[in-house]
This record gives sequence, C-alpha cells and structure tokens, in this order.
Amino acid sequence: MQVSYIADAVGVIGAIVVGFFSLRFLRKEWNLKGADIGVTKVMLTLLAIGCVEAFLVGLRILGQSPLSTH
Amino acid sequence: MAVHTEALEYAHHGPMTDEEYVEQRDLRFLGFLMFLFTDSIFFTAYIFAYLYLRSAAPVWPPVGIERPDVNLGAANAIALFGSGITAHYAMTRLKENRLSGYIWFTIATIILGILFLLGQVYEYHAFYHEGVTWAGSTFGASFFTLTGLHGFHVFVGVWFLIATFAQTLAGKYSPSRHFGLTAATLYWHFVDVIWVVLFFLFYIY
Amino acid sequence: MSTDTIEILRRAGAPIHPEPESFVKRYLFSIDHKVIGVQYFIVAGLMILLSGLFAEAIRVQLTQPHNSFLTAQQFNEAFTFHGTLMVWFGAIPLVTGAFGNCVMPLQIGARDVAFPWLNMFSFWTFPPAVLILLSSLAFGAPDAGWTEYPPVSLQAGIGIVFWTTAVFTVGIGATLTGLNFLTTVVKMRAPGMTFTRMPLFVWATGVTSILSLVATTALASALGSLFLSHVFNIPFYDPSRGGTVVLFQHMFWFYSHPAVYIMIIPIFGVISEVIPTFARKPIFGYKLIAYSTVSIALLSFMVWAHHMFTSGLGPWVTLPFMILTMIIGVPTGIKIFSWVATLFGANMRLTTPMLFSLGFLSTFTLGGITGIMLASVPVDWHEHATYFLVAHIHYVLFGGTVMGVLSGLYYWWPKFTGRMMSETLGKWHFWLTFIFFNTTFLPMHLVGLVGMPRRVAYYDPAYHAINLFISINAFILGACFLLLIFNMFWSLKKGPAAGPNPWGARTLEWMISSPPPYYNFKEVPEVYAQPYGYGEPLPYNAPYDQMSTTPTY
Repeated sequence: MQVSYIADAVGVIGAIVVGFFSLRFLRKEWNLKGADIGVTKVMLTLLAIGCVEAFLVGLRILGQSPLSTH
Repeated sequence: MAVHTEALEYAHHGPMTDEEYVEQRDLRFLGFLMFLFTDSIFFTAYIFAYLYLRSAAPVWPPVGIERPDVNLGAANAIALFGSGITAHYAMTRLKENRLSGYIWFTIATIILGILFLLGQVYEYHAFYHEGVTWAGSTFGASFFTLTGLHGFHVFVGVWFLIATFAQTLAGKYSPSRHFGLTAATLYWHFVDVIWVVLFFLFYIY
Repeated sequence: MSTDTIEILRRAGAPIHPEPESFVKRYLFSIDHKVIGVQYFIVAGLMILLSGLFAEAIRVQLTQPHNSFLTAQQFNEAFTFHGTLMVWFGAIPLVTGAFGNCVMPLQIGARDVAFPWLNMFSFWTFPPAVLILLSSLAFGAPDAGWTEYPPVSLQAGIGIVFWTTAVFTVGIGATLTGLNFLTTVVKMRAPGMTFTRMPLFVWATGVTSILSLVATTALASALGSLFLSHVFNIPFYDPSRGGTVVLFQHMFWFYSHPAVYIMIIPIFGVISEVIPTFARKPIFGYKLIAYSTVSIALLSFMVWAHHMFTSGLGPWVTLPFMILTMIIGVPTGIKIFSWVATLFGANMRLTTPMLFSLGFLSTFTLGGITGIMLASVPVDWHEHATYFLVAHIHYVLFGGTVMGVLSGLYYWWPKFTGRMMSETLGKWHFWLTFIFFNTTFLPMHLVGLVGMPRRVAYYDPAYHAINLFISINAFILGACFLLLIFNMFWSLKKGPAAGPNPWGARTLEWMISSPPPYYNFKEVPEVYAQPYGYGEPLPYNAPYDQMSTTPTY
C-alpha cells in the first residue's frame, strides 16, 4: 500500500511539473516557424495529454476498474 | 572524363557550404519524419491487434489475470515524460550555444530513460511472478509484444542519445549545424508519445 | 571547367559522390541509382523466371487429374513459392526498385536519389532475403500459399520461420526505397518542375512510395506476429487460447491490398509515358490521371476486407467494403478512358513498347471487370478460392503488371544500354505472349465458374480436357520469354546504336546521351511546362531545348 501511495505522489507531482514545462515550451515555440518546430509542437501537446493521464491516475480518478467487459 | 572525376572528388571531400548543409538537412529531416511515420504504423498495427483480441474476449483482462499496477505505471510514465522535457531543454541549450546546460540535461534524459526501462523490467518481473506470460494468454501476448516493442525503441533511443552526446562532446555539432541531435531528440519525443497511447490502452482503458 | 562542374553538380541535386574506380564499388556496392536499378532488374528478373518455373511445375501436375509428377506436399510448396516469389521478389522490386531507380531521378532532372547510401542498403536486403527463402527448400518449405493464413501455416514445420524472415527482410528494403523515393520526388525536382509538370511516371512512383511507407510496415507487424506465434507459441492466432485467425487476415490484407496497387500504379505510370510517345499526341487528361492515382492510393487502404468476404465478417462489414471496392473502379476507369482518348485520332506508331501498352489496355481492362464482379459479395461467395479468382489475378498481374513491365523494358532498354532491341523479335514476342496469355488464362474463368477450386493437386476428371488445354498453352507462354532473353543478349552484342532519343520522347531522361553519363545532367535542367506537349518546342532550358524529338528507329 505504502509503495502505491508514494507512486501516486510521484505521479501527481511529476505530472504537474512535466505538464507545466511542456505547456511553457509550447507557449514559447508557438510563433516560431520551421518544420522541426512544427513536429515538436505536436509532440509536446501529446506529452501534455500524457501528463493529464498520469495526474488523473495519481488522484485515483482514472484506471481504477480492475475488471471490465471490454 | 578525368576532369569530372577530379571535380566530383573535390566536391565530395570539401566542406559543405551553408546552402548545401541546409539542403542536406531538409532532405534528411523529411526522410527521418517518414521513418518515424512508418515506425508508428508498426505500433498501430499491433494496437489494432490488441483491440481486436480484446473485443473478441468475453471479459478483459481474461479470467485470472490482474491488470498492471496503474499507480506504479503512472510514476514510471512520468519518468519517461519528464525525460522528454529534459531532452527538449538540452536541445534548446545547444541552440543557444550553452554547452554545459546541454550536457547536464542530456545526462538527466539518459538517466530518466534508463529508470523507465528498469521500471518496465520490474513490471515484467512482477507479471511473470504472477504467472502472466507472453505465451499464456492474449492479454500477455499483446501486452508483452507492444510494451516490448516500445521498450526496444526506448533502448535504441538511449543509445541514440548517448551516441549524439559523444559526438557533441567531440565537437561535431554547432548551434547552426546539429541535424543528428535534432533526430535523436525527435526520436526520443516519438518514443514518449507512443507511451502516452500505450499507457492509456494498457493501464487505464 | 572544373570549378564550373562542381557548381553544376552541386546545384544538380544534393548527393555528390565521386565516380568509383574499382569493380566492386562500381558494379556491386554502387551507390549510383542507375546501377542499383539494373541490379534490381537482374535479380528480380531471375526471380520472375524461377517463379515461372514453379508455375510450369504446377501446370505439369495439372495435365492429368491424378498426376504423380509432384506429391501433394510438393504441389503446395510449388504454389507457395510461385506466389511469394512473384509478388515480393519479382513484381514489387521490378516496378519500384528497377524502374523507379533507373527512370525516376532522370525524369525529375536530379543527380541521384535523396539518400544514395540508403538506396544501396535497400538493394542489399534483397539478395539475402532470396537466399533465406530458397534455403527453406532444404528444411521443409512453407506450404500454405503466399498468404500463409494461420492455423495452416502454423501447423507446418520450420519453413514458415524462413518465409517470414525472408519477406520481412525484403520488406525493410521496400520501405526504405519508398522513403527514399518520396523524399526525392518531394525535394529534388529540377527548378521549375512543379507537381503538375512532373511526368506521370514520377507521380506514379511518388504515390507508390506512400503506399510502401504506410502498408509495408503493417505487413512487417503481421509477419512478426506470425513468427512469434510459431517460435514462442504466442496465442495471437490460437482460438483455444482466446486468439483469432481472422486477425491475421485483417493485418495481412491491410498490407496486401495496397500491395497490388504497389505492383500496378508504377505500371500506370509506364503506360502514361509510352502511349503519348507513340501516339505523338499530348496525353489526354494529365491532371485526371495524376489525381486518380492519388485517389486509388487513398481508397486502397479502405478495401482490404474484400479479400475476406467468406471469413464470416457479417453484412455490416462486407457491405461498405463491397461499395468502396466498386468505387475504386471509377478512378481506374478514368485512367483507361484517358489513355483511350489519347489514342483517339492518333497517328499511332506500333512499335514493341506500344504494342505491349495496347495489350495492357485490353487485358487489364478485362481483369478489372472480373474484379468488379468479385467485389460483389454474393458473386464472391460463389467464386472465392476457385480458378475464377486465379484467372482474375493473372489478368491484372500478368495482363497488367507483366505486360506493363515488358512495355517499359522495351521502351527504356535503349536508354540504359545505348542499343536498340530487335523490333521483329519484339513483335513476335508480343503477339505470341498476347495470344498464349489469353488462351492460358481465359479458360480458367470457365473452369472456375463450374467449380474447380484453386490450390488442389488432384481434381475431378470432368475438368481434364480444359486443364490439359490450359497447361499446353502455359508451356508455350513460358517459352515466349526465351524470345525476350535472346533479344536482350542479341541487342547487347549486335543491336544498332540507339542515340539519345530513338523514340522521339519529350521527358528529361531522353535529353541526355544513352546510356546516361555518370553525373546524369551536365547543366541543371530547368522546366517550363509539362513534358507532353507534342508539336510544341521543348519546355527546357539550353542545351536541352535543342534536342531532336524526331523518332529515329
């Protein structure tokens, strides 16, 4: 149990930090031009979505169904 | 004829002009994007297989199998997501010609990547301990195939980062010429983003 | 001179590599696109011949209802090797690797493809794959047909491991070739060559590259899971452990339906080059042909389940797939009509390449019509896995791809060897091929409609006469290829010199000497219009605007 609470804390705090930085980078690069920057923007957006996933899991909102039919 | 050969050899060995460099970089960048795209099809096909097998099963996960530990999974995922941010930091530092920043952030990226791999190894170990194996069930088959494929990509990505790190220390890249480094960073982002999808499919959905 | 040349070569396309001196670097591990194209042509050509021998073995077996020429096991291996070799080791490397490499960079006025080293690597995945596949003959060859459906393929021996490894390896090469070509087409066109000024073969190659990029990796994953299922006993395809065999069919056909377009779209490009050249007319509907190629490619990803109508998918799946499959007939029909409209009122020159193109038009159209029939679910239920299907696929792959490959071969042969082939022999080759192709495969429709299943070593004696007829014609059809081989060797030794532009064509590859010099273009070509404006001045800068477009054959 203890381990899983530590994992939760890591997940939530980590998600906030990583999500914050990915959004900050996104804001910084928003107006820059260039093919590699365009791709990076997409990647950072998806990264932010991943942080939302981890955040909600850490708060035990998502991922709590042990058995599902489909 | 001999004149042409000489000229070509000269052209081959001489340093590239800026214009040539940009042309080469654009070609390689486009080719690398296509590589990432075709690589993503690999994952897409197996994700399709996973969803297909899942929809064909009466209950999911199959009876007697517990889903992977979602909380540990989230912490582990954050290690990988965080390494994406540090990789991006390292890249911007190099573009700003701040080499020490690049060095520290790259080391952080590599360490986080290895941490993620260790987390995966722990997960595999726990599963095998419980009797969930690759050949045992469709759950095990799709889980180990997809996360194994992803783990292999992370492994390759770590070596890619280490190789470009060594090249940077040897002075190969400059703030204006750094295609290899861009490719390594992009590959690392790609590996991150694949995990966003796989994490959702195996741990949450 | 030398600094000028450097500048010219630097502008003529990015990859600059010195002309190699040693034999190994010049002919074996060459990074020159023309040499790689010829290498592809030689290996894939040999594979076509080998695969043809397997086909003849099948036909020998079927001359008698209960023949003892092959055992049932050997018969299964023969049709598996015939299909596998033809699709992955013959047709696809020929149309993409050989024609794409040889012609496409010249047609866009480039120095080479985008990644010459990668191009060499792509080729060198091919011979090892051939060796892997053929070595399986010694260890228990694969025997479940070129589709290798589980569970049959998984019940056999180690052969399936060789088969998946070989096709996976050649697939890596095909994917990288696609990546290379698409980058080349997008980035390395000569100045002034906008997308709508590209020759249609370049359109075809670019679109084919997209198909290879998207689809071949899906095949790789299907092969990977089949490999894992056999080696590690993974339950993907084992119904007793929750798996399902239909999954493999989905993954396989998601690749293999686009794969039939990988085999035919470059041929559409070849035909679009040959027909205006010998009709001496601008091609009718350039943009329609170009955009229909793109729409065929897009649609080809949405029709894979029409190969699986009999696997129990349910009407809500089969109905949309049936409709989408029929819709593919529309862009294909647009192309056929455009080519026919180009021929309308033309003062045609019936040379060998033109004859093969006209042969393509008629036989491919027939194959397309039976394709529409098979797309309809009720008809497919009746015809699935009969000789009707075999007839259909040979009408589109032999009557389409092989006819087109022969057309392109006779068309571009003078460009890459500098010598003409014998027109007399070529015409004999065409007429014999055309006649015996039809007498071989047309009766297969009949025998299939009355119910003879494919892939059987023994059959009902009621079908004996017609099978004997098919077999005899198949032997003559195979023998026709000896004419081609003789013609090629004759041309290399004694053929008259071709000159830069024997056919009087207007695309860029004909503006340089034959065979093309190592550096392709001395001056960077600049393009001002489409290449198909017959009767108008050439749309290129000096010195290319002074080239003669009068046929000299």
